[in-house]
Amino acid sequence: MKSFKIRLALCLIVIALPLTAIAQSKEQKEKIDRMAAQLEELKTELILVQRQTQAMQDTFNKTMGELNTLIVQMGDNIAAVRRAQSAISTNTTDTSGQISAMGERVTATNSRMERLSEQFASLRKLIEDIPKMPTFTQLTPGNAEQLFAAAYSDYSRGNFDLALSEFKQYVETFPSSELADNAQYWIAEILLAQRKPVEAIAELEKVAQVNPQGDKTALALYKRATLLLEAGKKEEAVAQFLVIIKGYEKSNEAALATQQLQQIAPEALAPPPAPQPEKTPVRKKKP
Amino acid sequence: MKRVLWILPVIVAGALLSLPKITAQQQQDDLRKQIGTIIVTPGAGPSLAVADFQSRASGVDGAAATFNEVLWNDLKFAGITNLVGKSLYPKTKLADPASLKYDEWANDPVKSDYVAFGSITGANSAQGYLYDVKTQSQLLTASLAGDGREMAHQFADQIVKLLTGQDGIAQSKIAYIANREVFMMDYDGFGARQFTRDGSIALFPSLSVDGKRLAYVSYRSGFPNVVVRSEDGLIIGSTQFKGTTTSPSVAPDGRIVFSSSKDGDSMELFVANEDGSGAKKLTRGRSVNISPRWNPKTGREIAFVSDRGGSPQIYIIGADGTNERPLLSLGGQMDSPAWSPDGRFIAFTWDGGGGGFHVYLADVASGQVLRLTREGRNENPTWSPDSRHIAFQSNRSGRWEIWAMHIDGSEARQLTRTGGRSPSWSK
Repeated sequence: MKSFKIRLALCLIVIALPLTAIAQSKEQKEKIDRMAAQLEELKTELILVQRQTQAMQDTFNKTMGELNTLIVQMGDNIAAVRRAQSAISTNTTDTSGQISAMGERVTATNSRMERLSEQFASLRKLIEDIPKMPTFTQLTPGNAEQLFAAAYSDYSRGNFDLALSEFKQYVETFPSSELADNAQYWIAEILLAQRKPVEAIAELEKVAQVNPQGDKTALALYKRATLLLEAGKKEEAVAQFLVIIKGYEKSNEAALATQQLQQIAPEALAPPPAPQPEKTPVRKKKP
Repeated sequence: MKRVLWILPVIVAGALLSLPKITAQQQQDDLRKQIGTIIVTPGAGPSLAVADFQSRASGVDGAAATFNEVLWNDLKFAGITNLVGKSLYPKTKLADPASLKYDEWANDPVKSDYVAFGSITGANSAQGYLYDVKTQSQLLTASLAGDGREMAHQFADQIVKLLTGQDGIAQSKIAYIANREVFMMDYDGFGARQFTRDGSIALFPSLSVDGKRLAYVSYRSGFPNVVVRSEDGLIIGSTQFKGTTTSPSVAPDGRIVFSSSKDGDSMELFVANEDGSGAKKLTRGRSVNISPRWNPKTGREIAFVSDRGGSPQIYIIGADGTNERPLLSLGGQMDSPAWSPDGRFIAFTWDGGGGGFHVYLADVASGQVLRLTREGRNENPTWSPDSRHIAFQSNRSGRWEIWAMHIDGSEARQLTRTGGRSPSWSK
C-alpha cells in the first residue's frame, strides 16, 4: 500500500512537472511580452526625446543665428558710432589744424600712410591667399626708400595702377626728398605705359617743378618735347628742346635734343646773328 | 687703463669694417626670405600625396610606370607643395574616387592636404583626379591624352594651375645650342630635337615670351646676323649687318633688341622690327654695350651689360633709348642679365670680384642680391615662364651642360647629357 502511495505520488509529480513548466513558460512569455512592450514604449519615448532634442537644437541654432545677427548688427552699430566719433575727431582735428597747420599736415600724412599701409595689407592678404604667389616686402609707414622701391617694383611687374598711386603718394609725402623728381618722372612713364600721352605731358612738366636740378629733370623735359612733337605741337616741342639745350647743356638729353632740332628745325639751332659794330661818327678835327 | 683705451679704437674700427658685411648678409637673408614665399621649402606649405596611377588596360604597364615617374618629378620640381613620401601611403590601391577613404590620407602617417590619383585607361589615355582630403571635396577631374610623359605633364600643369592660379611649366620648352645648331627640348631635358639646320654656326637662341618666335645669331649669311624664326621653323626675317652681332632678345610685342658693331662701330644696342628691319640704335658711346634683355612683363625697359664705368656691369635703358642708368655696380665682371617674366627679378652671371662665375639674383627695385650657384662655372641664366625656376649652363659635370634649379638655388638638376649651352626657356 505504501509503495502504491509512493508510485501515485511519483505519477502525480511526473504529471505536475510539465504542467508547472508550461505554466512557468507561459509566465515567462508574458514577462517577455511585457518587457517587449516596455521596450517599445522606451523606443517611442527615445524617439520623442530625440525629436525634442532636435527641436531644442533647432531652436538653439535659430537663437544662435539670431544672436549672431544681433552681434553683427551691434558690431555695425559700434563701427558706425566709431566712424561718427572718428568724424567728430576729424572735425576736431580740422579745428585744431586751424591753430596748428603743421600738426594737421602730419596727421593727414600719417593717415594717408596708414591707409596706404592698409591697402597694402589687404593686397598682401589677397596675394597670400593664393598659395605661394610672390609677396611684397613689408611696408613701413614713413619709410621713403621702401615706398619708392615698392612703387618701382610694381611698375616693373606691370602693376601700373598700383605703382601710380604709390609714386603719387611718394611725391605727396616726401616732396623734398632726393627721389621726388624720380617719382614724378615715373608717374609720367606709367601714364605713357597706359597710353595716356596728354596726361603724361602734364606730369612730365611737373618734374622740373619738383626739382629743377634733379637727375630726371632733363630727361623728363626731353620726353615731354618728343611727346609734343608726336602730338603735332612742333613749336612747343622746339621751344622745349631749346630749354634743354640751354638749361642742361652738359646732359645726354641736350645732345639728343640737338639731334632732334637738327632734323626738325635746324634754323632754331642757328647762332643768333653777331651784333653789328656801331658806326661811330668821325669827328672832324677842328681846324 | 691705458691698454684698454688703446684697444677701444681698434674694436670700433673692427665693428665699422664688419658693418657692410652684415648689411650684405642681411640683404641676402631678406631676399632669401622673400623667395621662400615663392618656392615651398620642406616642412612649409600644403602637402600633396600622389598615388601611383593604376593600369586599367592590358599592355599599359610601361606607360603607367613612365606616367607615375614623370608626374612625381614634375610636381616635385614645381615646388608648390610638399610631396608626401609614397612609403607612407595606404596599401590599398587608389584608382578611382569610389576607392578613396579620406581618413587614410588625411590622418597619420600620410597627413596630406591633397591627394592626386587616377588610372591609365588605354595606351594613350588616362583619367586623373585631385581631392582635398581635409574638406573631402573633389578639386579636379582630368581626361588626359597622349603618351605617358605628355599625360603626366598635362596633369601636373592642371594641378599647379588649380592650386596656385598660375600656369605650370611641365609643358614648357627650352632652346639651347649644341653642335653649332639650335635644339629644343622639354623643360625636364627629354625630347631633344634639332630646330635649325643652317649648317653654319648658331649662337644666342632667345625664345619670345609666348614661345612662338625664336631669335638667334647665325653665320649663314657669312656675317653674324640675327635670324628670327616662327615656332614651326620658318624664317620671318633677319638683320643684314656686316659687323659683329650678338645676343638678341624678343620683346612681348615681337620687336627684337640685340647688340651689334653694325658696320665696324663699337658694340651698341639696336631695336628692330620682328623681321629685323628698321633697326634703330639705342646706345651711343665708345663703350661696349652687350647682352640686352627686355623686361618681358612690360616691354618698356631693357637690361644690358656695359663697360662704360670701367668693368662690365648691368644697366637699364628705356625701350625708346632714354633713361639709361646703372642697375647694379658690384665691381668685378657681370654678364648675361635675364629679366624674370613677372618683371620682379634679374638673374645674371657675376664673378664676385674674382671668385669664379656664378648665377646671382637681384631684386630690380631694391637691388638686393642673392647668390644661387656654388659648384663649377655657371653662366647664361634663363627664366621659366612662371618666374619660379632658372635654367643655366654649367661645367660642374666636366663639360658645358644645361641645368635647372629653383630660384632659391635648390633642386638643381642636369637637363642635357651630351652638351648644351645658352639655354632660353619659354612656354
